Amino acid sequence: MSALTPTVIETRKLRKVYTPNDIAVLALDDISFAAEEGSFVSLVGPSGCGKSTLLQILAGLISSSSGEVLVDGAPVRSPMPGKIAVVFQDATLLPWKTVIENVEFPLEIQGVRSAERRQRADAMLSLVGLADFGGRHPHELSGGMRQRVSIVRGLAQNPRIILMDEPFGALDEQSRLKMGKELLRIWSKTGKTIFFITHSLTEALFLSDVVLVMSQRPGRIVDVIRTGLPRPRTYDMVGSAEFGAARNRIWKLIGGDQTDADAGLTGL
Amino acid sequence: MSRASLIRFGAIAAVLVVWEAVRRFNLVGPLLLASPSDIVAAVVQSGPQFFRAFELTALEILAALALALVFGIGVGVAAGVSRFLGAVSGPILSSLFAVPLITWYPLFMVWFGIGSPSKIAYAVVSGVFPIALNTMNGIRHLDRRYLVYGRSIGCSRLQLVFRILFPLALPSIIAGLRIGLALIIIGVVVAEMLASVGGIGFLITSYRNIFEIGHVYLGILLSLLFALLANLALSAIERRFTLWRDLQASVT
Repeated sequence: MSALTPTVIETRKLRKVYTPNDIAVLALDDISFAAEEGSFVSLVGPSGCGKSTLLQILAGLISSSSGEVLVDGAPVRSPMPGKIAVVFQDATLLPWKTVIENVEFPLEIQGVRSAERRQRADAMLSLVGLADFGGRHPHELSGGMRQRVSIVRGLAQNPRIILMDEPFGALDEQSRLKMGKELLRIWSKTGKTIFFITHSLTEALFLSDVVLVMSQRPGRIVDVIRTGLPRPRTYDMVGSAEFGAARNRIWKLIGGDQTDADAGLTGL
Repeated sequence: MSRASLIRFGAIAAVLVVWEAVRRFNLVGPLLLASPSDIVAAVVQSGPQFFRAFELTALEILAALALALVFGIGVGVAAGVSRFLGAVSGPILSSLFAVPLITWYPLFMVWFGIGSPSKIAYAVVSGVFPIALNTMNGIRHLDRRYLVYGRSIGCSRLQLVFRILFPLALPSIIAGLRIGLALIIIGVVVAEMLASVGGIGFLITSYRNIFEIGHVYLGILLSLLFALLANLALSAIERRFTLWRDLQASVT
């Protein structure tokens, strides 16, 4: 990525305080980062560190306590379906609608005319090889297929950014890497900016240009790693020395080895 | 005709023959039991009268159903969406559901007169609670993640209610409708039997008073027909709107 690539998403000193039962809990603190247009950015961190909270703030679904999120330079205060699509861990496909109706639904909400909707949905389903499944209902598909439809549904919104909250979290390691490759293929064809949450370090490194590493609660960004791996990515990169070194570095940062990680955090 | 349907028709024919024989040989007195031929005679004698009564009762049921749906779903959605309204109305709805409403019928007569309005009002009150309760529960227990998704694609509040919340709660609402419609049919017919000037229930009571047992049985059969028709309609609605939930449940 050159320095001239425009920034599409930027956060400035985001902070989120929850007050359940009148006791303030600091969930996120001082989150500042920028993602370049068309880049693949992952966010890793221990569970409960506030990854999903951050994603929901980026999506405009919940508000931050202070700081701001800018998309194309404009602050995000509510969902912006024309710019940001969200793909959730559970595919959340509407069970009473068919696959193609699910893909069309966000377009319908945006007010796209029905002929154009159908055309865009068809094109998107073909892109992921699900053109023949348009008439099926979600419960007739496998978990991986449902998640593919859910990604397609996000793409059909034609957003600038796709936020993904552990989309392959429910899949086994093998299907997960396969789905990852599929996602990279779709990403390279559409040129969207992807912000991807995962707890799998391998997945994060395999997919991303940039990996943001978050600490335990309160969530802070403790490292930004540019993976520097060439594209297209291949499975044997996962076994390379570089890959292993990067993986170990993150592992320590997020507290894989508790004493080391604690020492690392106090030093920050 | 298939073997199964042959057996079915045979069984029905056998029951009719035995039933007729029981009366012909006077094994049971004529005031206790009408034979199939008595019922046929009643149709021949008073067919148009029963037809008009059937029409009236059907209209009362439909009117009561429409009102119970509007009020039941309205109250149920409000109580399901708003935590405050739910906390206030939930216990009231549940306890009113168990009250023997028939004791209130004399009041309905005073308020609405002896004609159809008192039947409709009584049936609405009978049927509205299960519809409201099921709607409320359906909305309270639905998966919130769908609503988060809805917000992420820019749904307005109305769109969230009508495009996501309502379809998700529809299977519960239909389950409530199943109980509610049964109570509405019972409510209309019972109210007609107690005091009225028309309808199937009215004919049953009137002919019982003059010991026309064949006519009474015809009235009973026609009131069963309401239940049958309601069941057919509900099954069709369930096939159309709730099949996804059953299929989903069978997968996960």
